[in-house]
This record gives sequence, C-alpha cells and structure tokens, in this order.
Amino acid sequence: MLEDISPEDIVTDEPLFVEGLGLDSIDALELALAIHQEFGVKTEPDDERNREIFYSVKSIADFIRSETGAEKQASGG
Amino acid sequence: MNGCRLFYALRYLALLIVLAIYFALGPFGYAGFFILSLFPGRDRDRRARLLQTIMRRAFRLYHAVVRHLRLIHYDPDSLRASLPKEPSILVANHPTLTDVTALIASIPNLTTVVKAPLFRARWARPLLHDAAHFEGDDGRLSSLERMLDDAEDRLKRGYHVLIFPEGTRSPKDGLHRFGRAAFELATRTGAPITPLVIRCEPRWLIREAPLLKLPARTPKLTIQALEPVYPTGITSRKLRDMVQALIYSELFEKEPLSKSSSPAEGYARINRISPEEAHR
Repeated sequence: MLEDISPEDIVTDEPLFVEGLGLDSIDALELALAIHQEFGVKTEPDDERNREIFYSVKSIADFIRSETGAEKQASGG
Repeated sequence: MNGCRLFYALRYLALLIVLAIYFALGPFGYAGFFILSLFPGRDRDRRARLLQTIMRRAFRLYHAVVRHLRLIHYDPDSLRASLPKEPSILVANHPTLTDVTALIASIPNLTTVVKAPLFRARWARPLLHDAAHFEGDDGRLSSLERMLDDAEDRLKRGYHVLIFPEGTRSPKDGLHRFGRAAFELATRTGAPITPLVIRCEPRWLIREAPLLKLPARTPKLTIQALEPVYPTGITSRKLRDMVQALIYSELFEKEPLSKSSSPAEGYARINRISPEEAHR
C-alpha cells in the first residue's frame, strides 16, 4: 500500500487518513478487505461508523477486538 | 472599439438563442430517450453504442453550431487519430464545463463516471444508464467498490472510460490533487491510461466566468492526447503522481515532461517539494 513507510513510522493512535498518514478512500477499501480476510470481520458499509473505525490503528484494533471477542488479541494493522 | 462591442453583443444574442433552443427542444430529446428506455432490446451493448452515437452526433452538431456562432472554437475531429484503439482509461484535467461536450463529440465508445445525484435524476437516468455510463461513488466504501467494478466491466466490454481525477473543475492556475480511483482501475485491469490535456483560452464556464459572463474573445478549446501510460510494475499511487505530473507539465511548463520524462521531478514541481520527498 505505502511502499516507503515502515510499520514503526505509523503512530498507533494518530489519524490514518488525510491529515495524518494521508491514506485515501482506495486505501480504506483495501484495508477493509484485508481486515475481512485476516480476521473474518466485516465493516459496515455505513459511512459514519467507518470514519470512526478507520480513524487510527488503535480504533481499528478496538473494532476487531470488539467484533471477535476479547479472547482473541488482535495485533492491529 | 464599436465593432468589438457589436461583435460582443451579437455573440451574446447568439448565446441567448442557443439557450432558448436548448430549453425549448431539450425536453423533447430527453422524453425521446425516456420512451426508448421503456423498450429494452436484447443486446445492451448494441443499444449503448446506438445511444453513444446519437449523443456524439448531437454534440458534434452542437459544437458546429457554437463554432459558427463564435461562442466556442472546437474541432471534434482534432482528437481522432491520437487515441489508442484498445479500451483505455482517459484521464483529463477539467478547465471548463464545455470540455465534457467536446469529449463526447470527439470519442466513440466513450463511457464516463457521472456524479451520483445527476445519475440518479429521473430525466437523465434513462439516457446515462442505457448508454453504459455509470454512477460515481457517493462517499461510502461499498459504492466506491461498485464504481470500480462498473468501470472494469466497461473496459472489458470494449469502451473507453473517462475520469476527471480532480473530481471537480480545475483551479485557474494549477490542478487539484488527483484522486486514485482511475489509477487503481488501471493497475487492477492492466488497461492503459491516456492522459488528456485540455486547454480553454480564455476560460469560460468556470466559477469566475459563469454561463452569462461571456469572455471578450471567443474561447478556443483544444484537447491533446498524450502517449498512453501502461501500468506495468507500478503502484496506483506512483501511476497517479506520474500522470498528474505529465498533465501538469504539459499545461504549465515550458519543457513538458512528455519530451524529457522525469516523473519524480514533475511531481515535486507540482507539490513544491524536493524530488526525494516526491518518492514518498
């Protein structure tokens, strides 16, 4: 997705889109697909909630945890 | 000076007549398409090509009329030889509203992304939908995916797909940042990007020069197709940056990149950053 950025460069609770890491809607699409394939969790097509879920690595991890149950510790994006 | 004023007054009158004709006859045209849409034939592609041809001929006629009335100079045949035969993704800057009619007048087998509210409009949908145009995304992820699928489908069926990657009209002295959908489509399908460079001088039908603010001189519209760019071994991000740099340099630089080709440098020029940063 972002070939010149390493995982260490991404701050867990900073915004991923626009003003933060600068991801765009195509990235959101790929991210949603990757999360679905990796964790079997489907994000809602509803826009409002997606904005909250995809806000940061932390918010994505929280979402996956809440969907899969607390026993499975998701390591995040 | 008086001659100038008279010429302007005559052109203004011509504009009002064109508008009057549009509002008087336009509804019949849309009604015709609506009635046609009630009788779906068996072959949707034959129908789509028929509607595209009707539209293309209509806009050729329109451009001939406005050329003779000295409202806009544009030659619909100027683009004919320079487009690739295979289906490609046409990516253009968008200086004026009239570039859309000019593109439709010039390019056979053309489909395009239409903004969601217009595509859903009752009067426009029968024509747009049956002519194989498709709906743009409305901000939801599901609709973005649907739009990419639709575009891929059109390429497979042999149509060109036109996308204005800025999503709105270009600013006066530059380009808005290109969105990535057109380039993602290219990397997914392997279809080439054909960059189109559109110039309109003086500018008309922009926010600063709306319909009734006719420029003193007759605007001259030209469309130039650059060499197709194939998406081999490149990410959609880099492809986007490269095509944006190509179009930008063609419009604003003395030595366009199409002659020398150094995308990173062109990209840096757009964003006023160093070429090293441009690789990020």
